Amino acid sequence: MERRNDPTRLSLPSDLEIVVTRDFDASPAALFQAWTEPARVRRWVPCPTMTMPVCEIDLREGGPWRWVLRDPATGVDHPLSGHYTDVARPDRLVFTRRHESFPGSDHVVTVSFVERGGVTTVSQVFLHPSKQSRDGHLASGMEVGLEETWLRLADLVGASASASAARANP
Amino acid sequence: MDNLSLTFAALADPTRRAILARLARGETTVTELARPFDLRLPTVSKHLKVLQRAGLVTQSRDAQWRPCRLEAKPLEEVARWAEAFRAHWEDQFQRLDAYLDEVTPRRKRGKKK
Repeated sequence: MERRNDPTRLSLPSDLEIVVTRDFDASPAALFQAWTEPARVRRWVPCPTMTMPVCEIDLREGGPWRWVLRDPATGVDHPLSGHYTDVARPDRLVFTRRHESFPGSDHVVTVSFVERGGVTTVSQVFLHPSKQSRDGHLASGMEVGLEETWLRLADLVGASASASAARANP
Repeated sequence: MDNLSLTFAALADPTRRAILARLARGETTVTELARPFDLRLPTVSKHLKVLQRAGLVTQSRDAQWRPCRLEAKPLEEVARWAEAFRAHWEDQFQRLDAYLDEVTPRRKRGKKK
């Protein structure tokens, strides 16, 4: 399989976390802006079939944020909100996050931007208060039928030890 | 609890993951499973019960030997969820990449600043 265009890595380093990592050919400053300025957020967060009627960002520690993603086909809104707890431009952004339609979905997201040689590694850590909440978030995805391999299975089962080993797999 | 929650709960323990990793290499007995973990047999049996309840392990009814074996189906389900989540983020990140391309003309960073 071609992995070159599919560079997002996922690992489950503990029972409470989901970690999503990807490299970008951009500066931490540009990426930090992409996460924190509504006009930029709107450009990449909603998928092409969705709209984003609300994108409020009060970027300061303790400041609230609220995004609403709308699926015009079904009329379903996905309201996400929380507040910022650490704003360290352009290295790190920490905020609480909840899906308002799902009570108990509260978790903490830490996004970090680490540059090396012109390439910035974005790492998003979703930290949940309980394993049920973490698993629910992971499973909240979609019924996308995807071909599975034992390789990915092994990645998952030994997720804590093999995050980097899995990356090396073609 | 739904199947996926059962599977996740069963996978939550490092000893149980190690047991699964051992069973991925082939079926074996409870005694053999206990050996590398320095665990008493009842403790291993307790872990096995959790794995069995999640459908991850089956034990043969053959009274002589009762080998345990790995069942892949629940793991495939977990892998599918995780992959869907990863794919979701990959989609989103691809849009971010395209956007960054647009706002940073000739984004080529071969040289250092």
